[in-house]
Amino acid sequence: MGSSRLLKINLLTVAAVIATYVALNLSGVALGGYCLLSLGNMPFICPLGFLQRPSIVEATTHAILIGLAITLALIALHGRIFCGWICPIGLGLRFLKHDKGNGRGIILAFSISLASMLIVSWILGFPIFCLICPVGIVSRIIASALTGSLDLWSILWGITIFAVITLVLRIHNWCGGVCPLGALQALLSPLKILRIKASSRCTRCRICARNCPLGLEIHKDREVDHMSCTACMKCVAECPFKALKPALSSPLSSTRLRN
Amino acid sequence: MVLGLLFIPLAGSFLSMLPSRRVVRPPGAVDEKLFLELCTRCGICVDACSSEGRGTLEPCGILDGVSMMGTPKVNPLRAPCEARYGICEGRLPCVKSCPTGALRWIEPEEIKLGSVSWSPGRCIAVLGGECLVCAEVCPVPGAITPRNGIPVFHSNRCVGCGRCVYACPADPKALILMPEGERRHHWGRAGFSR
Repeated sequence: MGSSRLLKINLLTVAAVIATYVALNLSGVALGGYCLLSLGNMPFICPLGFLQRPSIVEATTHAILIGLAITLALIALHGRIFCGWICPIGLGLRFLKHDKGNGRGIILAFSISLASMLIVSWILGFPIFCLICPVGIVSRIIASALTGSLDLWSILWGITIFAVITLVLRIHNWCGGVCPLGALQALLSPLKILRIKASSRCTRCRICARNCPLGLEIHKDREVDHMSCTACMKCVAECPFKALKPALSSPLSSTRLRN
Repeated sequence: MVLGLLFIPLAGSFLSMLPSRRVVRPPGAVDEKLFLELCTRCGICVDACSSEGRGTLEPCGILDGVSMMGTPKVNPLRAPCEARYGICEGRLPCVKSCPTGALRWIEPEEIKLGSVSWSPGRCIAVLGGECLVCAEVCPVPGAITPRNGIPVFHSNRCVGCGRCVYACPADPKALILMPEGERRHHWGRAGFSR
């Protein structure tokens, strides 16, 4: 399976999630979008949206905390799968090769970015990242379109945000160090169970690292690289020796998969 | 990299301080500052309004302000709000659907979304026509009283439902719904009060 096929699959997954969310809204089975999806009466809030709004704890019912716990558990188990397969900005990573990445640098930048964003949000009493969040902007544009109140300026604003992230900040910086959504998922994922693992066929040729959009040296099996990995599968597709594959493996278990 | 790390705090705090329009919020909204924090812009209240109410709510666009985008507003040009003297009285689908507490339960007699502002220069009755549609559709006793064929507005009685704005036949409309006099939930040490 080549990288171009992965790009097509990723386009499909991004579109399928949006289509599902529109269909759920139109049928009334679930309401809301990425920022908060209410399934039946169970709200699943974006963990980052929640963290920026400390007053929610006092202002609402415990249901929101249960939904949040489920979301966090899913992230902890699966890591940055959202970044690699659902996020509309994450699609841009498919066009990148990046050789100079460093798992440790990514985690450090993510920590600083997430912490500074949350501190400024709490000081201002305003969820500042939600203003820029590309996922939230897509969500809002769809919600406006569904009610027939979408205006051209809101679309232009969305395009501006996407342009700044992809052209000015550059995607590999955004997804590999700035985006607080990616940061939260990376920092929560030391326990994730789906990991790309190198088998004994690996010759340490580093073709995987050169093809990784974030420059991760996933074949070395370092925790920091696994945390930043978006499971985009590019390394798996590009490995000439078919040495890499996704495996269910827990860092807690003593038997590491290495066949 | 440094630019990247400073981008969100700088751009976010700058954008959050840009001026925004004052809009009419759904019934039971908390104070504006807290509302902007609590509202996740999920659009669920807007959905609930269009499926169970009359569909007066719509998400704010970017022209209402960057920090407002996606938050709900009452647009009486779409439909009047039925929270008082209407199909939503006592059940408030928007409030009940809000998952984050940005909209909170409010008794029908306490609902006041704002009040209407009247532009005599556009009013058919003032311009010599025969029109008292606003007074006819107004459900609030004594909020619009005709005097010599011209409507007189009593904003202290107005609940801000927007029925008169919706019905006004003038083009452009002689009436605008404004948040002036709105009643919001206040956040205090003892929880919420009105």
